[in-house]
Amino acid sequence: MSGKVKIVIGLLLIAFGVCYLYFGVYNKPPRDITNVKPEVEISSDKLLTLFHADESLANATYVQKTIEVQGVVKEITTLNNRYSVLLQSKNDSSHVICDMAPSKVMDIKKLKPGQTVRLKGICKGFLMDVIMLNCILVNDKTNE
Amino acid sequence: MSKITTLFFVFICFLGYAQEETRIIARQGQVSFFSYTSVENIEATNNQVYSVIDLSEKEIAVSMLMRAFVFKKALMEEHFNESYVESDIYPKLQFEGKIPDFDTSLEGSQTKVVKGDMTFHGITKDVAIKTQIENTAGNYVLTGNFEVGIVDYDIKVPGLLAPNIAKIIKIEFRFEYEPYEEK
Repeated sequence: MSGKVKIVIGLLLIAFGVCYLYFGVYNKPPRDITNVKPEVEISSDKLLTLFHADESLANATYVQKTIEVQGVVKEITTLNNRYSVLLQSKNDSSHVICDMAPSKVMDIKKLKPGQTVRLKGICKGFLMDVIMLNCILVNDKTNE
Repeated sequence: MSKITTLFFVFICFLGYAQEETRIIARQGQVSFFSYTSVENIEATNNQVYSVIDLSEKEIAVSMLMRAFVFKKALMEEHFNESYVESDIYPKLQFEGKIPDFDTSLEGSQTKVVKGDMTFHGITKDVAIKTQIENTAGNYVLTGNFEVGIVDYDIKVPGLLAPNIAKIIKIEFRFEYEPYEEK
């Protein structure tokens, strides 16, 4: 009797283990950073200056980190059915491109060019622009 | 005489203007790849691919961050960046090439072959990619698809996972260009 119970418990544990691996590890959805505290807070100008000055150093410092960037909205694009906020900089042709998390686009629709915003996202690196993914709007500082 | 001189200057100014306007840029080009096997299908999209075309030189450059590929599953993204393309060591894919018989004056659609060097995972290879070029009043859109063998770029797949990853990866791209602005 107790042997049977042990086998049943054992099987249940294995089943739970498989479920955990399948849903918790194998099928884990991409990161949601709503409740993640940013490791760095920085202005879009400063961030771009650092990437222009020494890309590999800036890569080592910021890539794959959750960072909060403050800047002025240059443009909001809806290319490929995704909302992206482009933050302007003193250096004209370089921007910070923030690809917004699809669940948070309602906040983005209200934004206008020229507005100062804080966006939190995961920094992916630098091409012509600094690229940030999974971004969410942190706080609107326009009216302060 | 003075009329001719004026005309000459106007012409020079026009030339200068025309030369400035020959570059077009795409900051948010889209590149997707697909790996189909009987075990699982993997696909990922990069929506922040950078590209510049110099219309007068018929030259094209493309650059993308491997880490900017978005997957449906976090584990796939982790394996892709850490085990296969090694994004820490090779963060970018770069392509530089020419579109030799590109007719920049032609409106509408034309299909051309883009030839150039693709550098990825530390390996540079000659590639030729058939590309559809759409020109609507000076707004260019380039689209196309091609295939890449993972062996060609030295992507190693551990034996256990070999059935999960296709030997040939399908790639699709779409770039919408706008005039290059230096404000």
